[in-house]
Amino acid sequence: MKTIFDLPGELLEDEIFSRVPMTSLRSVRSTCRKWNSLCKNRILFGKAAAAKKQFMMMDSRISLMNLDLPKDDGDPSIKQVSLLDQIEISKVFQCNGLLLCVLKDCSRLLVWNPYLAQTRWIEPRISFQSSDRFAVGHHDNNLNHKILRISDEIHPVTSFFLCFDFTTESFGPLLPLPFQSQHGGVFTSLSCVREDQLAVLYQHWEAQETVEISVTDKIGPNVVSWTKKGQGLSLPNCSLQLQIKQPTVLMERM
Amino acid sequence: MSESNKKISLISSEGEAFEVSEAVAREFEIVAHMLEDGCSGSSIPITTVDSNILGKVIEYCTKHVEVGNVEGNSEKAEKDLEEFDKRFIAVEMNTLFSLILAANYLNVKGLLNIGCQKVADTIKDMKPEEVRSIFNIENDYTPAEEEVVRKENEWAFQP
Repeated sequence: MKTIFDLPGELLEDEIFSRVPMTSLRSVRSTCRKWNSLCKNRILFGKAAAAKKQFMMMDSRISLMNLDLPKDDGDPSIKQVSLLDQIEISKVFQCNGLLLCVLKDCSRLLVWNPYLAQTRWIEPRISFQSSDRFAVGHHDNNLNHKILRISDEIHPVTSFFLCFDFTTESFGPLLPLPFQSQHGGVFTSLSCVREDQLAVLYQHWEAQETVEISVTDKIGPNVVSWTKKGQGLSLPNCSLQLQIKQPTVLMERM
Repeated sequence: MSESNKKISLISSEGEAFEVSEAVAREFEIVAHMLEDGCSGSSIPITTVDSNILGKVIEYCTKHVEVGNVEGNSEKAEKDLEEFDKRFIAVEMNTLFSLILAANYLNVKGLLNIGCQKVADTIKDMKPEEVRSIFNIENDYTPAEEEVVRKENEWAFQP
């Protein structure tokens, strides 16, 4: 008589739990200790990403946006994440499904794994500054995450960005953004899309009601090219965090 | 064409021989690799799979090879194959897990996929108690531990 316990753990993890929608993971984790630890062994993001759920920052809170447009008559449903409604967040970064949240009061950082429902606070050795910039990433094929903090005063130049290599812990050369900024009059937000693309969302100072989006055709440590996607969106005062799976982490406004 | 007419015997754990065409045998990636590595024998022992399950795996591979060989009318063929897969995998749990184990060992990717998907679909939308009862899993949490896991998940994604 064969049961589910005859299957090797990795088969359960890689082939079965990864196919269970993330909304049903609660049942998997509550079933028994072994299943709970198998779930915790990995960050279940790969196939679950197809569930079209995305995070959105709105009014300093993280919201979960369901982008299943045909079902919702064109209106995405947006729900605030209730656990995190006590804290105000100024920036969110993602890496392999982990979210790094920078608190508005700069007191500490929150690393959140929404799929396993785990959080960890990162306290500063002395203190964080409002001018600090953060990013999260990890080595190739290695899930030891690293948080990058740049604590020197940064002179804002909005036409370039840098690529940071988390393995060698070094920066690449300046790479161009898809617009020309004059006198710093552009608000930008960079996000990663799927495995290997970067999206930039930007708003001109003179036309703040319109948000433009460009996505990379090609991106490497030393090269980048951009394509503008669609017409401008009317979506003021928010920063979209698009889907990310790989640790391509790039700094904003370097 | 002469190659596809070649017959190969697959021997189950009980020693029963199943004669199949080379094309069907090659659906078992483990066998395909043996053939490519110059294994020229016409009978191949599959020692970890019993006759009942080996017969089913061969039935699955035969159907997929047959449909793959038909030219034209591909949409209908694909639909039929989907229907076949659905019926094929609608089995009780003992057989389902035996099929998954065999597909994993023999490296029959399509069968492994539909088998694992079937298990995942069964888990989906079920309460922990129901999952335990279907898969015959003992609840090894203490009430306090179970409460901790439940609390942790309270703020995980809601459907």
